[in-house]
Amino acid sequence: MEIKSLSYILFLLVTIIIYFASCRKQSAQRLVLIIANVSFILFVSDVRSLFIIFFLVTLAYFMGIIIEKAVKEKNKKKSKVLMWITVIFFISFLCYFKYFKESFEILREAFANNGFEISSLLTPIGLSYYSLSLVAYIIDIYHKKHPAERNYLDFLSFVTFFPAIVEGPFGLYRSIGKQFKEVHYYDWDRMVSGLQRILWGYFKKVVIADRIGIIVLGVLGDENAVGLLVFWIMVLYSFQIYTDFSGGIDVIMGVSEIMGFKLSENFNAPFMAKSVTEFWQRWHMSFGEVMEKYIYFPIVLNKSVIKFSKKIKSKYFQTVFSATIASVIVFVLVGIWHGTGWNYVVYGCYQAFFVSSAVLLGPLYKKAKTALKIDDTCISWQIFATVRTFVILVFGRMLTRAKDLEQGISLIKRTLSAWNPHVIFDGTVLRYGLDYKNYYLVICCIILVMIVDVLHYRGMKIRETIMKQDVVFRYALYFAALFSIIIFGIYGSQYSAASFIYQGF
Amino acid sequence: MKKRVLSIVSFIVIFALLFTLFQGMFKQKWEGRYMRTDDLKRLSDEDVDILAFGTSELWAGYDPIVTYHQQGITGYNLTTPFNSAITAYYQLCQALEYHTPKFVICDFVALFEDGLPSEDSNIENLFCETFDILENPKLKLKLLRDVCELDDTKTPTSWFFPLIRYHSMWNELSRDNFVLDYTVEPYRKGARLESTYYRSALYRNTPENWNYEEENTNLSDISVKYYDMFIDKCHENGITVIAVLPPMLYNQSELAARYNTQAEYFYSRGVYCLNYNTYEQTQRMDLDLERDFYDFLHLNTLGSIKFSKVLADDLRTYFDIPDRRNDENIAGVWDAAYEQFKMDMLNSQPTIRNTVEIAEQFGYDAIAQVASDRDDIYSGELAALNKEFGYGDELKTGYYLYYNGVDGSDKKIDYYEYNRELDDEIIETSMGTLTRAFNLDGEYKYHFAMNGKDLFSERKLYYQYEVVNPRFATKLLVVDKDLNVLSMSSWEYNNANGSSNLVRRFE
Amino acid sequence: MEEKIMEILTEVRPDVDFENEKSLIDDGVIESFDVIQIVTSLMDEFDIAIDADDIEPENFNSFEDICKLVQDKIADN
Repeated sequence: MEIKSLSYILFLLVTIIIYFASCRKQSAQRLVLIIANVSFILFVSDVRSLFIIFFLVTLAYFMGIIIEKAVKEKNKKKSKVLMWITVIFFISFLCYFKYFKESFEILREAFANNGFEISSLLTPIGLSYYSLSLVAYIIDIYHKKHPAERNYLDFLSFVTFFPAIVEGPFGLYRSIGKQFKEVHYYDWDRMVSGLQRILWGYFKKVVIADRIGIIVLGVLGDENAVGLLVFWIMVLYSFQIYTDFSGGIDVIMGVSEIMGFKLSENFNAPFMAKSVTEFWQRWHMSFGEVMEKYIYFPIVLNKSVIKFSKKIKSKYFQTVFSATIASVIVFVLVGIWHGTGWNYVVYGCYQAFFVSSAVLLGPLYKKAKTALKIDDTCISWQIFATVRTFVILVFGRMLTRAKDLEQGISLIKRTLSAWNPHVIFDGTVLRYGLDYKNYYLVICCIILVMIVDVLHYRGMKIRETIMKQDVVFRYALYFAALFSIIIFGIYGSQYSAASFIYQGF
Repeated sequence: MKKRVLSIVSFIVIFALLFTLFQGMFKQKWEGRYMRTDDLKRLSDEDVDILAFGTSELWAGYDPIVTYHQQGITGYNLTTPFNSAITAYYQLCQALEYHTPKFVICDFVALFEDGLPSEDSNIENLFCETFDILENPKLKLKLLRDVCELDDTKTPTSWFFPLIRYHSMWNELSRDNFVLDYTVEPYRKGARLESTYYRSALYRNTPENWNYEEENTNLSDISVKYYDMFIDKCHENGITVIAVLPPMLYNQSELAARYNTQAEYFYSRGVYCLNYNTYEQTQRMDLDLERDFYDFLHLNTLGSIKFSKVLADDLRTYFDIPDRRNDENIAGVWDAAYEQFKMDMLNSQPTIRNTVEIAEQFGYDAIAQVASDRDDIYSGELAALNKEFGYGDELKTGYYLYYNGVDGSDKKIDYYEYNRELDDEIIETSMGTLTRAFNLDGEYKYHFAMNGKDLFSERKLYYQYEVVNPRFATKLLVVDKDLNVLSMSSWEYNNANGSSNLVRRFE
Repeated sequence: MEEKIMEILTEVRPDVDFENEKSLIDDGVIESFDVIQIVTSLMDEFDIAIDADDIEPENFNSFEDICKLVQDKIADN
């Protein structure tokens, strides 16, 4: 049951109705939510995923209480050890399923060939997300940020919250935990706002992302496509990934909003970023928050690290040392969290390079700018910085789009192998699965998305503005969006007149 | 609260209206076949002595209007490309709700394949088409259930709303989609009638092409089951089933390898079989892969006329099908339709050579292309034809005459120049003398006297001429530079009175 | 204590007038990198623990905010 399916919509409908029907008692509503969460996991995955998530939730629940007790007793050593054991256990669990199951698969085949049958181990659904949430929970208890959750069911409903379980956003207990202890009442305005967001999310995902996917697949599959054609396609791919991910997130946020939950935002006009660092503060923000709070700052503000850096002779390096090291570590981890394979490691290093060099050379850049009299508040510089950042990231994406490092590098080579600007304009792009009407539709939609992003960037609250307009405008907008999705959406079989003519093959 | 309910209800209502509106626009055309149901409903039972079911080869081949003209056999062509036994059965059920023909012809093409939608997107389209065409909702549901049972990749939801199914055709919407009133030509009767031609002869047709190594005996159980249901349904209704295997000049050996198995199947089910997939039959029809097919599997208009004539003759010979040419209810409409058919087919040919070939099928033995001094006549095809007959590349404004050698003399083409100075003009050509005269009403008339035969071509008005020495009846087709038919005159010698040589003209 | 704090601040950013600026973070006068510098020096100097959650605009917008932060942290000890 993906987001883009009728069954998901039906599931939402049923769940939301029952959820609000049971709002008289918090315990009833909570039960409804847990049942919905469990059913969702079973629809999307299988009993094993359910078993694993129950296991980890229960473990985190009990360890949280135990560690809190140790902390209250001022038993520093005990609480620290317990915390570390739990955290390491969760991380290893995650790493095992994410990275080592491939080698396990090879082992399994070897066993199978010798007659032993071991059941296959697919990554349980949502593990990458909730395992880190649980780790954050444990660490926060240790640092006395908040008390351990005593109500098991509240805790369970928080971890397994179905809208967010498949692709996030990350939910930190300290931020959103208490929303799961309250009753949520039905609110008309909130529902309309949520529906708007859901509509927008589906539009991005179904009309734009999947449409771009067709042409990306076509161009990347053609070995003869080189140079700027590949580059341009990767530009489009950047938008594909953005609309796909943010579209899904919009649906998730919309659903949560209807149900009365406010989750962390994930995107804030990411392509308006003027540096790679800023980009990661605007892209997948919930993940960035986790990395920042639990890895970056702990490293930078760690007493031993500070002590060590004091020993560095050069004054310059002393100031930049810890931030640089922390950046590198964070971004390599970001890279490998996104996927298994060396290409992800290189991707992480690539991002780390730009972020850390911005830190490392930061003071130097500042001096250079004042020396060259570059005014970085003026619009031309801002445009330059935005475009530069975008181009850097496009090359980075070539690594993640490829299925492994070899393919990623060959993709980069293909891009650099020719200088052919004409291909973007002479109709070559129209040979890869999208005719010119579909292609221009994609371009127009991308422009629309960028306009919306720029408006957000400048602080305009679009949904509020829409709500203030009169009913004719609002209805027209809703119908336009709805029918755009129905008519322009990529779903079902893609019919065209040509496919009906019996071709003499 | 009330306001909220009102807004929800109005939203849903407007949505439903818009949805229905869009759905009307996004109907699939199915290459024009979607109009057949309405057409079929309007006909009377005498119009439909034969119904045809099958695949695109039969769709391209069977022209009911030609079988009518040839032997008075009326019918309707209900074939669809990529037939599968399941859809054939349901199409039959639907058609039987309107008419009960005496005979059903089918090419039983899916005998050796399952014909399920998951196999091929073309088959999927076929199922969609059948689903769209079925009007009876019970039949629709049955088809859906059968398909979902046999093919576990299919789910019902996308099938019920054409808008959901066909939404991706938004970039192909054309004026057709917004037109409310659709009309079908009265002569079409469901046939394909594609006038382009293949142009590339892949090989010569020889008896050796039909040799095969091993017989193909693998019938598909699903198809056999549904074809059995098809045959039984016909027999229940007193309908004779005739298997018609259209001629193909490709994959002949494969088809030949199947034939014995097919024949056995037909025999065991009491189905008659007319097999045109043999060397003898293709010779009988004088089929040519280059000219008579529009791709390497399907007959074009010319080929279909040839095939339909032969089919009509055989049906007349072996079966007791009424000859409707003298039926006063039917003949008037069908004859008129046939004339329009002739006109449209002659007008729709891409080249003069095609026009000539079609005209031959319609019994014309001469064709003249005329042009005025202001017209250009630079038809590449005419140039080729010109060249073929050895008259060089150049085309000029003037008259081209083509003679098809019906009396045993050679085929000829001739060109002569147009002289605008003269009102009355007598031009000697290698074929004969063309006289252009200016009459009192301000119209040009042409008199072409060819080697003792007199052929007349005229611009729209009827004239009566004295004929000096007619030898036999001829039919002359006159076309203009764009190959539009100007006159379908047919002149016959009528010497009922004995002495005076009147000429009668048929339009 | 306040003098020591001011010393640290001016060492990191000698060009900024910490006496009078009241929106150091909100107006972008100092950036996150500077904040890290300041924090590490403060931690070292006063032997306090500052963590990620303390790095909020309200704690660093003015000299007074920073002093208050340090005092709170010392009290925690």
